[in-house]
Formats: sequence, C-alpha cells, structure tokens
Amino acid sequence: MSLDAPLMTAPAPAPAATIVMPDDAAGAPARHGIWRRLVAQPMTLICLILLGAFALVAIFAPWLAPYDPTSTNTPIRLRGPSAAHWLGTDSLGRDVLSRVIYGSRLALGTSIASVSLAVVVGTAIGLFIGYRGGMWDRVAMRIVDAMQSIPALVFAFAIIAVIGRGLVPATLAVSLIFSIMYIRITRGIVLREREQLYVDAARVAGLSTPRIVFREILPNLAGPLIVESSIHLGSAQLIIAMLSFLGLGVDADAPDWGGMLSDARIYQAIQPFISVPSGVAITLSVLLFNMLGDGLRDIVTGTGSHTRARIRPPHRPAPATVVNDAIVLQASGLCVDFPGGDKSTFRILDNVGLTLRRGETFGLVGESGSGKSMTALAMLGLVPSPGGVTAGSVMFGGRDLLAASEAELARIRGNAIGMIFQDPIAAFSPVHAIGRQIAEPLRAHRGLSARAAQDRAAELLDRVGVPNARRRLDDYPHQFSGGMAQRAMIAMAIACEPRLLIADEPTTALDVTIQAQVLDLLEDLKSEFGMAILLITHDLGMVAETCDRMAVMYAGQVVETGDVATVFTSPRHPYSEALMSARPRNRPADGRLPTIEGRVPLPWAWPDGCRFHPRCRHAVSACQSGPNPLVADVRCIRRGELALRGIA
Amino acid sequence: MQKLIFYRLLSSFGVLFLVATLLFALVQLSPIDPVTLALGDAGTPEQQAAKRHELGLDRALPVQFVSWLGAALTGDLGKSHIHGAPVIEELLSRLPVTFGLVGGAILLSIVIGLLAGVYAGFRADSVVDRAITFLVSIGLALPGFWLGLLFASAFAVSLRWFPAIGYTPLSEGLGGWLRGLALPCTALAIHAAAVIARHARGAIIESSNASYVQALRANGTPERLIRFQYILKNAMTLILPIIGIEMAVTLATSVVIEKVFALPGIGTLLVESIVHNDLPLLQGSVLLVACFVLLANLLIDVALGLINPRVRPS
Repeated sequence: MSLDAPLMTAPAPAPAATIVMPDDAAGAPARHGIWRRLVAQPMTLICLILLGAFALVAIFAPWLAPYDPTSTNTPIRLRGPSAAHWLGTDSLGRDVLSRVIYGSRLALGTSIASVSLAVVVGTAIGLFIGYRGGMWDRVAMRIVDAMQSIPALVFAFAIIAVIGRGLVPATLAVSLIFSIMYIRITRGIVLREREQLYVDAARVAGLSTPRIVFREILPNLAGPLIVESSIHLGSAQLIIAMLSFLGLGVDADAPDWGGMLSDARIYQAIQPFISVPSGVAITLSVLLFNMLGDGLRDIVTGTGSHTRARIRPPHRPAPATVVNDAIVLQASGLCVDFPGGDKSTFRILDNVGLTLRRGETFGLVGESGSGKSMTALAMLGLVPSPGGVTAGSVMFGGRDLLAASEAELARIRGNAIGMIFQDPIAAFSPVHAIGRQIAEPLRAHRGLSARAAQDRAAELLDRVGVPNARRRLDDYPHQFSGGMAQRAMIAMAIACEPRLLIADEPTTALDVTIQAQVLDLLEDLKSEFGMAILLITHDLGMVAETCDRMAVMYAGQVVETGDVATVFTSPRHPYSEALMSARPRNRPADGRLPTIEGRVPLPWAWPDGCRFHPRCRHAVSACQSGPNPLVADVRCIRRGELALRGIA
Repeated sequence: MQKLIFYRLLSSFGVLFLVATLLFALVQLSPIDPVTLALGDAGTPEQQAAKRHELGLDRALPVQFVSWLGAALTGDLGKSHIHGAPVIEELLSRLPVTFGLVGGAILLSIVIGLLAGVYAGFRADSVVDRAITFLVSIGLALPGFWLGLLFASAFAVSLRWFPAIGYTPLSEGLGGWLRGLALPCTALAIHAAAVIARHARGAIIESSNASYVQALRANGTPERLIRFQYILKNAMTLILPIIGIEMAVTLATSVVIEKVFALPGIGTLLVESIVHNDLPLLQGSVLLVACFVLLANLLIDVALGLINPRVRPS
C-alpha cells in the first residue's frame, strides 16, 4: 500500500514569505476563489480538459476505434505503423490503435471503480474509528499497521491468491489497498477536527453523533479526499497495469494497456515499436492524474505554486556618510515591497525612519501587522523572499547596510548587531545541540576553534543565567523551557558583544514571571556591554518600564516618534492615544476592557489619506485623502489641534 | 540508541506476528484445498483423509496456527508444491538475485533522488529546478516495466551493450554480474528516485523557511553552514521516512522488473506461487518481503534516531 504513500504526505509548497499574499487584491468572495484559482493555474485546467477528453475516448471507443480490438488477422501480425494500422498490429495481427482506444475503458473503469470503492469503505471506517476512538481505534490501527508493512503490490498478490485472478479480483485488491490509505487520512483528519471548538459546540447543542460526523466533520474531508483521489487514480492505474503485465489482472485477450505490454515483452525483439503505444498511454494518463492532484492540492490549500518575480532592490549610490558618535543606527525612507497577484506590488513598509542612539533602549510598538518585525528584518537585509527593500537607507557604523554586499552584511549580523526572536524554541534548530548553535557567531566572527567556542558559549550561558551551563551545551532545544531557551538565544545574540541588539517580541511567548526576568537580564546586559536595544513589542507596559524613546507604527508607517515619557503623557497621534487607552490598567469604571474598534487592515486594503482614519474617533473628511506626511515626528494632519489624553 | 533499537525490534516482531496471523488467516479463507492440491482430484476419500491427517489439517485451528508459527520460527515454512523443495530453500536460492537487483536500485534511487531533489530545493524556482521538477513528474508517471522494455530494446537488443535477459551470478565475475543488473536496476530505480527527489525538494524548501534559519542568519552563521549543516540535516528527518517507504515499494516493484528481464528472484517465485496456487510458497515469500520491509524500517528508524534527538527514548 505504500506505492504512492509518499505522494500522499507530500509537503505543500512552502509559503512564499511570512506574510500571506492574496491572489486577488480586491478580495473576491471565497465561492469564486476556487474557480479563479483554477483559471490562474492553466496547467491544472489543461489536465482537467485532457482527462475529460480521455473520458470521452473511453465512452465513445466503439465509434472511434477503426477496428474490432479483438479480431485477429495473423498474416499481418507484428507490423509497424502504416496507413491502414496507424499504430501497427500486435502478435495476433490485432490493430494496436483500436486496442489502445478500448484500453482506455479498462484503465479508466478499473481505476475509478477501485478508488471510489476505497473512498466509500475507507472514509466510513476512518470516520468511525476516528470518532469512536478507544479500543476500536487501537485494534483497527494495529491491523492497518500490519497491512502497511507489506508493500501494496505484494498485498494485492496475497488478495488475488485468495480470491482468484481476473479483472474483478484485481480491482478489488487495489481497492482494498487504497481503502487502508483512506482510513488513515480520514482518521487523522477526524482526530484533528474532533478537538475543534465547533464540534464541542455541536455536542453541547445536543446534535446526535451521526449528525456531527456527517454534517460537521465530513465537509472538512472533501478537499483532502479530492486531492488524494486524483493521485490515487494514477497509482491505481499503475498497479493494475503491473498486475495485468504479470498475468494476474485483466484477461490476456481483453484490450488492456498492461496486458499489451506483456505481449510486447515477448515480441519486441522482432517489432520494437510494439511497446510504445500502450506505454505512452499509461504514462500520459498517470501523469495527468498526478498533475491534476498537485494542482488541486494547491487550490485546496491555497498555496499557489505559481511563482512571483522576486522584488529586487534598485542599485543605489551610497549616501553621504555623516559620522555621528551618538547615533548607532539611522534608518530613513525605508520601503519594502512584496509582489502581488498580477504584476502589482504591495508596499508593506512605507517610508519608515528610526534613529537609535548609543546605549538607549528604543521601543517600536504597534498592533500585529503594523510592520514592526519587517522593519527589523529589513535593517539586517533579511526581508523574506520574494519581497525586497525598494528604497531608503540604513546607516550603521558609517555605511549604508542596504547598499552592503551579502558578505559585508554577514560580517555585521551577529557581530555588530545581534537579534533575538519571539519563539525562542523555534529559533533553534531542533536537531543540533544548543551549544553548537550559540557558538556559531563566535566561530564565524571571532574565528574561534570548536573547543574555544564551546568554552565561550558555556561562559555566555552562565552569564545569561542558565544553570549548569557547561552541561547544557549538549542539550537540544526541546530539552529547554521557553525562558531558558530565550536566555540561550540572548547568549547567541550577544556572543560577539554587538553594539545593537534587536529584540523582536522577546517575551511574548513566555510566562509573565519569566518575562520580567528576561527583561531584567536585557537591562543588565545593556549596561554591561553598552549596547543599544531595539525592543519590538505590542506591550506598552514593557515600553514604559524599559525604553527611553519609542516609535509607534501603524499599517507600515511610523505615525509618532518621541521620548517615552512625552508620548505616554501627551500623545500627539490619535493612534497613540488609542493604544494608551486600550491598556488594561486604564480600564474605565464600568470594568469593560477598552479596545480599538476594528483591526489593522492588510497591506492591499490600506485606505487613502491617513491609514488610521477609518478607526479614528477624531477623523474628519480631510483625513480620507491627500498626503499625510510625518511632520515634527507625527503623521496626523490634525496634530496640535486635538486634545489627546495620555497616561498621567 | 540501544534502547531505541530494542524498542523498535520489539515492535517489529509484534507487526511480524500480525502479518503471520493475517497470512495464516488468508490461507484459511482461500478456496484452495491443500489436500486436493497435494493429491489432485484423483484421491479416494480414504487417501484424502490420510493426507489431511498427515498435513495436520484435522486439528483445531489454533493448534494448526501455533504449530505453523512454531515451524516458521525455526525456518520451516513447509514444502513448495511446484518445486517439491522446502520453501525456505527456494527462497534462499533466489535471495542473491533479488538482493542485487533491489539493493542496487535502492542505492541508485537514493543517490539520484537526493542529489536532484536537494539541488532543486536550494535553487527553488530556478531554470534547473523547473527542469528537475518536470523530469520528476515524468518519472512518477513512467511505468518501470515499460522503461525496462525500452531499455532492453535499445541497449541490449539493438546496441548489444548489455544482456537483454537473464542473471549472471556474482560467482561468475563482477563484470558480468554488474552488466546483467545495470538495466534492471536503472529501470527499477527511476520511480523511487523521482519520489525521493520530489520529497527532498519539498523538505529543503520547508526547512529553509524555518524560524531557526532566520535566527542563524540574523546572527551571522555563514550561508554555506546554514545550508549544508542546518537545513540539510533538518530536511533529512523529513526525507528518511520517504526513503524507507520507497525501499519497500522498490522491493515490490522488483517483481515486475524480474519478469521483464527474466531474473530468477523472489518476485518470480511469488508470481509462480499465485499462478499455481502454491500457498506455502506464497506465505513464505510474503513473510520474507515483510521481514525485509521491517528491517528497512528499522534501519530508517535508527538513522532517524541518530539525526533527531527527539525520537530517542530517554
């Protein structure tokens, strides 16, 4: 049964970037989405059309075939292609073209019959054992395991040995093989769906079990099942062809592609062409089913494999360097674009500017999707493909990082600038020891030997407060708690004593008590190494406690910059005010948590004028259009005329 | 590591026991009567009863099962009807052929599949990647036995570079053995190579997008190290199980390739046993195939355990 199991588990094409781009900028309703995506994938459409033609050939075989596929004519046996017999004749003088045409009936018929039977039987059993669980599930899965330890073809042999040779037994045998695969995937999906809230809700609402299974869970299976079935149809054809070739499947007289190849085996030394027509027919039809399956998978999962051109940064001259000792990093006019559906691009960072001073902690705040992390990645030249920086400069140590070569950037990353991430456990390779990964910057930048780097890594781990540091070097990420892993990540980022540490939501994934410890550690390290910290967070409390200055981002733009104290006490942008008032500790007397209405729009839906105006309670009609530049560190045309409330 | 091997061996024996049970049940379900098979239709009722007693078929089913299983454990898989020899002897005499054919094809498919897939994954969306992806699609759809026929016709019959059919034992020289296996191994390897390449490409792309790659890159790890130490090793944890599956598939498909090139291996035995209703031979060869598959899985599990610390039992 493992003939095409690998196809089944094929990883979907990887997402293009950390942000998901729509195929359709206008956001068409989902119903039209499938059709639209189908049209956007011409290969899948072509496969569908060709398979349709294939089905028509099978249906109209008696009208299309020039001869009776079984009438023998031995005097003209084993002829090559000719005007009378386009694809020649076989060992009994039968017309090969007619046999190929009639063969499509058996090929399509047997594969469709075996796969549809398998779908019905396999999903039914899978639904049952998946939903019931317990003993039923355990026993059934042990049997399935045992059956799967025998390869599909051998399994088919065993079944045919019991129920006899011929068309129907071969079809049944193949069907049994595939039903085991359907049991597996159905059970897997049911086990996953069973835990979903909507199933609980249905149960609480008192729906009967069959109703939950068939009405609520079954629809979720449709997509995966269609994809699997298309690929199984191809595999079924291959297996049935093999069985016929071995003389265990379709009767030798019947026009069948596998059987024709069996005939070809004996006579091809005399007539080499004889194996070509049926071989091509099998290959083509299996290819079509496979490609259809791949295309459908992309459509169902929404991960279009159609590639978009990568955004390439324009070549630009290095700007005049202003060496100012007090400034560590200065980003200005930073723009990042991602390619959209049809040759359009989305600007997801728009004219972002930040200035980080020596030894300060700078807070970059905003809701999810405002572009904070992308800003940090863009500074290091790490914008995920296919996006790219299209304008701006990032001055660091007297040069523009955006104009630096990859080799120059590699010398800066982990050396002069370190970076830590939100999910510390995922930020380490799961199959490499922690110590080795912490040592990478030391080996790359300091040229330390493996042993010396390990020694230094142990010191660093000890410094960031990991107990038993020396022994933990050989541990793997899964053996670390979140807090310890973040300490290890910090050790890696500060290994080369960078001048700037970028901390991207460093505590979001951690427990509250651990959060404080990690923040304290960062604070200590900052004074110890004299480095600046760019703290990316959506937690205003953290900014208030740790930062000197801050910038507020909204929809890919910086909307306000300033001293933390000033921004908190007297915000000048309505979004800053809204963020302040949405802090839980500012909860009004009625006890309800204040929120900002709505959410950050996605890059393709950013409004004209001020991007915040649809959610702004101070918006006037002038806010809906026209330019909205950053003036005196605020991006609001009504700056100064509003009395905004801060936090006292 | 020893613990891992111990547990996996234990579970392998469990599965093997289940497979043996299924095979025993299969014979019980079979409409073929071993007595008729042994005597033909000629036997008198007395002779039939005597034969039935001789074969132990008059005992209770559980007793039959235990004695069959006990005999199988000592290597006694019964007597083949068509060859008249003990099944185990037949199997062992065919083993070198299958071993050479399947082993060669597996090696070939792993080398080709990994090289092509890993290269394509690292160069995703390049011209070479597209070319490899196209070839992989074709490789997935090509029936190996047709490819074998074409190979035989082109390289053996027309060009006479290789023998078209038959097997030359290793004892008659390495050159002849290799020449005899070259075409069948290649024909057998193409499909598995395509599957491995396809998954290797996907695994490389998936691993390249992982958070740790970004973290390593952001902290200055050289690109070469990121690729060939970090991404490759992580991708291998995804590819190895696929290689395990393909080892089993290759063994099964070897049956068809054996027929194309008239190689006297296990597969030929298996097909004969079905055509001639030789149930002991069928049981024996399927059991042998299952053993091989379990052994392949064990090897893969051990390799995975070496790579991935998370699958090692603590």
